[in-house]
Amino acid sequence: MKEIIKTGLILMIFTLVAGLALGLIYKITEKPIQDAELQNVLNAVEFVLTDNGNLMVDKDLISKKINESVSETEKEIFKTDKAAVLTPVLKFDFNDKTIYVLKAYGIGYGGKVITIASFIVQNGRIDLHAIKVIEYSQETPGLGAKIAEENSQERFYPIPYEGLENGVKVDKDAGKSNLDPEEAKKIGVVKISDVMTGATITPRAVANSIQAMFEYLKTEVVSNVE
Amino acid sequence: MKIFLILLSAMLANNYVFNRFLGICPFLGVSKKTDTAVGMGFAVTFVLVMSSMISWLIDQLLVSMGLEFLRTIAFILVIASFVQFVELFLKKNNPNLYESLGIFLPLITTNCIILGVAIINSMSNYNLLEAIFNALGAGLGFLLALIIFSAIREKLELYELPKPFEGLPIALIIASLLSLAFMGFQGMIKL
Amino acid sequence: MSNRSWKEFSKGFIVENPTFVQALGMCPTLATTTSAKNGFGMGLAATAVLVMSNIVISLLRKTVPEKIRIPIFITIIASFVTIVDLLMHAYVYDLWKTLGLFIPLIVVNCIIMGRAEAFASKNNVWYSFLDGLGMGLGFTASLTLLGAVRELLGSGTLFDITIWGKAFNVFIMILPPGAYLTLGLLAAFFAFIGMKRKERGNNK
Repeated sequence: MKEIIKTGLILMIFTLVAGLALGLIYKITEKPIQDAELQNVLNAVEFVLTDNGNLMVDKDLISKKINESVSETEKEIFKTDKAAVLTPVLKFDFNDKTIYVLKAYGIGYGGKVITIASFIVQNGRIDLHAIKVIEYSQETPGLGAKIAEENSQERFYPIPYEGLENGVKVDKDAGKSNLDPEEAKKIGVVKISDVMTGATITPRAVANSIQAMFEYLKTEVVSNVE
Repeated sequence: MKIFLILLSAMLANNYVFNRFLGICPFLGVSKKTDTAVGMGFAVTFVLVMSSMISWLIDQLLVSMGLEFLRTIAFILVIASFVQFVELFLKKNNPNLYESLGIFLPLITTNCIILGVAIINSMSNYNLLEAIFNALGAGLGFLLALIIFSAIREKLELYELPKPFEGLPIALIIASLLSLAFMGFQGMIKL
Repeated sequence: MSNRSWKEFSKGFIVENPTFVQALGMCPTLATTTSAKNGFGMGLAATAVLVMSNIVISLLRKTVPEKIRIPIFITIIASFVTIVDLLMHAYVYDLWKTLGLFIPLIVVNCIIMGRAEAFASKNNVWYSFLDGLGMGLGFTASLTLLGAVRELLGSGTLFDITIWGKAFNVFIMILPPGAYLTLGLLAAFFAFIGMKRKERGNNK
């Protein structure tokens, strides 16, 4: 009996020391981790707001808006059956147009695929300008990960109003695999099967997210303005 | 319906051994004979389901206290103690079962499929039922992979191979072909 | 460096190479080597854990009771893994994202537990440090090699630098079957070299 208590105590001491040490390291890295996460979002937002290599919005304004939104907890503000739009909604007003930057997720390969996208609202039209996938599940190494590459993501944008109205689909689901990538975008089809062979779940999640964001803008935001 | 999909997906389409690379060490090590493979497969399935359940509960506790960073250490300790406990329990109460499964138990703690499934459950925000079915699917998929693989390797013993390919290399090449076959299941499930 | 030190350090590269000779730590080896960079990063993360846990376990080898050494080793290893996980999350965000699940899984990497059991719990700190470093770097070298082969054949690049780009791509190399195939062929190659060496040794 005494033996058991002694070994139990030794074990407990080890676990306790380990726990305390980890708590300390956690405290030290807490801030840098937050910064790294924030920087990731910031980079993505700047990326989707870039047009021909120029930033469409002032850099300081972007980081100000993002820093403001950090303190809020993430909420789902709009749901379709396959995807959901999340807060925060960043809005940049111009004389002739408004640019929205939205965040949405679709269910991918056993986890969320989170996409940030920018939409330009002008003369009653809503056009998708650019997207950036910031989070995708990592369970099958190599397969879904192709989505992180820029030449995969380029296949998703820009999509004009007509294409979005049609409903964004990946080429396999639309049954239109033989289209030219640029032609396909005009009717809302994302040609992806040639760059992401075999993987359809992750791009489908991105397409669903884009669709959800568009529907959110169309029904909840733009119609209220008019 | 969703739990059924999770089960099938974990077992076939996203088989943990062939497509997610978890549980490779016992897969290559124990799979030389079909009966040991079956024993190992069942032992792993049992531990998987039980430990997923326990680690799910622990995870809820950790999240509610804001201690998510202790997840890894908490999970592995729970798994290690659970395996130890099962071993002692079997030894005392069911010597027959201990004879057939007991030898595999110490190996299971360091089988990454157990910790891997626990972490995947927590990353995918599964609820308790989904977590259990995911673990069950993972275990059955592991069992399936072991049986197929060991059957092939038993046959392989009879053939003459180029010397450098004997043992590990040929096993890996067979695994490659099986993995290719299992990828065929991928179109089957839309989650 | 004394003869023994050099021996403990260098054995991990060829003679006792953890990947190709001992076939340890197969899960991360297969899963994270979709590119040379990922393999290299995974290898270094495991090396860091291996070196630190070897040092601490060697320091504690006389105080830890024989009976409960395994749970204590696991606790120590899991702590270092969590530390590496947190540090990577903070300072190498992209790599942390890519390696994902396989960072916490370093805990159950047989190499680390194996070295703790077989070496660090029996030898002094200096040799344990060298053993950990050598084995870790041997592991890193194997992973980088594997990643380089797969990346070159699968995407035509090497460490993200375009070699022949899209001109010749065997996409399957990046997918799971390619991982098994490449590792199988490389292991056969190493076995072949080992046999040739032995033959030469016998002829002398």
